[in-house]
Amino acid sequence: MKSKDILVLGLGIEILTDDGIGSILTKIMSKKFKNSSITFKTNHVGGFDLLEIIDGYKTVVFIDAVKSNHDLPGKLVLYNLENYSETSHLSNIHDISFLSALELGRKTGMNIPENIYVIAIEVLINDIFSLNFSKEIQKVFPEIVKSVENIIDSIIKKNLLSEVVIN
Amino acid sequence: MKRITIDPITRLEGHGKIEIFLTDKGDVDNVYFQVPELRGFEKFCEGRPVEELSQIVTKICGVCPGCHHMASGKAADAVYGVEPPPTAKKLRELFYMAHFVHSHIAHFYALAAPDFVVGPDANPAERNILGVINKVGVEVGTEVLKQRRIAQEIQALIGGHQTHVVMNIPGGVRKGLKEAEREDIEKKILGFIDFAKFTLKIFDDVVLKNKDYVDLIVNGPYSLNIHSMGLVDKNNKVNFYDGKVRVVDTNGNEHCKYSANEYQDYVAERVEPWSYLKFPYLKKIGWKGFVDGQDSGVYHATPLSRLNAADGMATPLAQKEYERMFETLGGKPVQATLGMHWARLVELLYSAERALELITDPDITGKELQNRPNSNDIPAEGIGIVEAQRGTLTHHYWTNKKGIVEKVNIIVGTTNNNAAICMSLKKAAQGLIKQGVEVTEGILNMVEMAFRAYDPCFSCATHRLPGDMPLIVNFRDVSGHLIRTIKRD
Repeated sequence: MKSKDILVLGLGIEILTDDGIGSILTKIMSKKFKNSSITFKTNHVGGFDLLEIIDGYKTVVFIDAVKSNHDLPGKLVLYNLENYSETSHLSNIHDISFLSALELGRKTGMNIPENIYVIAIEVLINDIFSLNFSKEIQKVFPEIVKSVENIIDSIIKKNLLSEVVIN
Repeated sequence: MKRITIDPITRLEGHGKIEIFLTDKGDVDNVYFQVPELRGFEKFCEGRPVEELSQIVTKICGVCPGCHHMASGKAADAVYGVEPPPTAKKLRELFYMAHFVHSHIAHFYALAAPDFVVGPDANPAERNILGVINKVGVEVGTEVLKQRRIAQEIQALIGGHQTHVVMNIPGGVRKGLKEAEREDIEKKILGFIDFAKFTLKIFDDVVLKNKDYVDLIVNGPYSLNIHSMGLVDKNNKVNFYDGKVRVVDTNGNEHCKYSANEYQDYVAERVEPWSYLKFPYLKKIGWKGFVDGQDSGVYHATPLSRLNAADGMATPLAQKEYERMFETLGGKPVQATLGMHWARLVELLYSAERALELITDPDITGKELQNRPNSNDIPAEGIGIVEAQRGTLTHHYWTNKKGIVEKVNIIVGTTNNNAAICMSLKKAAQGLIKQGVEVTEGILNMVEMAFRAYDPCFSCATHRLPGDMPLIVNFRDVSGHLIRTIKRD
């Protein structure tokens, strides 16, 4: 069993066109960093459920889709809690928001990670069932993989900027 | 005519928009609840082996994946014409009780309690689960998280994964339960029962002992005189996993009772041009429009309707609470929409008690896990029905002779309630928004309370943006020009 040091949690539904980009990237990263102590997981839940998954880790990196309609598909932004911005799955309006979940976790004595990062990737289509990315995401996907790999490498080396816009 | 738009709605799954049309005098003329999304999931399922669907459908929705898994598993059983052995059926139901426990706890504390414990017109920044915990104590929050987590752990143990469930195969389940696992689960389930009782006590103390709240539930603009649907066992007691669908009319008399494979004789679906979500109705009565009453075809499939449709609960503590609820709210059937919150807690207690019955049943650790389909049997068509937390869930598959899916029809729990939700919203809006009354955030929240009671889940997929949705209300004049905006961050 790996240590509860760093968790990379990919979010998203892989059968919803671009929605599952976080999950797919996480699976790719788990192979690239298979000799590291990082734990890689995927899911498509938010709110309460995330608390249970991240409990006890020191550092958590979420990889998730975002559809702001303001940026070009494939644009990748790294957030932390100080400049937090919602992504597709972190919050669950069926129960609670991500930030409320963290506050609830802290209030109730859970071991909430000290470092929380969110890698948000702008997507184009996240509401149509399909096993393939949109053409726009397919085109830039190799660059996204490289960027995510660099971020995770930086996290391992503890050399992470608080916010970076990669592409 | 003026128009108020509530878009998007807070504290619900998926996307939806409420359009409230006002008369020139400022009274509510009409209300439309619109679901502007089309996902095409049924089409996505075509061409896939039917035994794979139970795993694919868990990805429809991150809120009730276990419900889709169960309905799909039962439909696949029917396609192959096999019934699971007793151990497999009981394992499925045990998983399902844990699914109900975690979901009903989340709904009450995160979605229902803020309106009652903190107050329907309280500051929205405090009207949430954190506000609830500030009022009732942090130890309650700890218990909420603990009991939810345990319920999820039980689902993961039995189902293979708490969200991406993999337990069901045609005619059974993949894996059994070891005695050590059984003993561990039994201890945990005892905690469920205590917590359900504790939650009912909170409801008692905060809601039932507050005359204003009881008055709001019984006499507020939150009642709808429609028919009630729910799955019942052979004794007409509530059951979530198996049995027949029973519908009682507005007088509490049985309208119909049917097996899964007969659903098309009793339920039809109507399409309206302004929403992608269909409007099911009782076929033998017919569609009479968005009207309530004995002659209407509109029904609801909710925790309250399940209790209305049944003759009681199959477990002792839940039965007592069932009797108390109907006695307090004026007898069967209860038509007070906000009564759904109490009914949901009765179901929480039932789920905990039923889980205890199942985990102490000697069959639960049995070794016979599947009745394998006979190779001579030709798969064809199958229907699976369960009660999802949000209503009766139907999966209907048509396959070719090789078991490849050619057509799918799914009626999700919330879809049953589409017409009822529209009507509840209209009634609440008409009761709360009047000429000369300022439409405050609190009033809009009270309109939404009619909606949230149904615990709706519209997208049947876990994606949303942004997560903590703002509420934007636009007021438009007769010509559609924006004259005022209220924004809830």
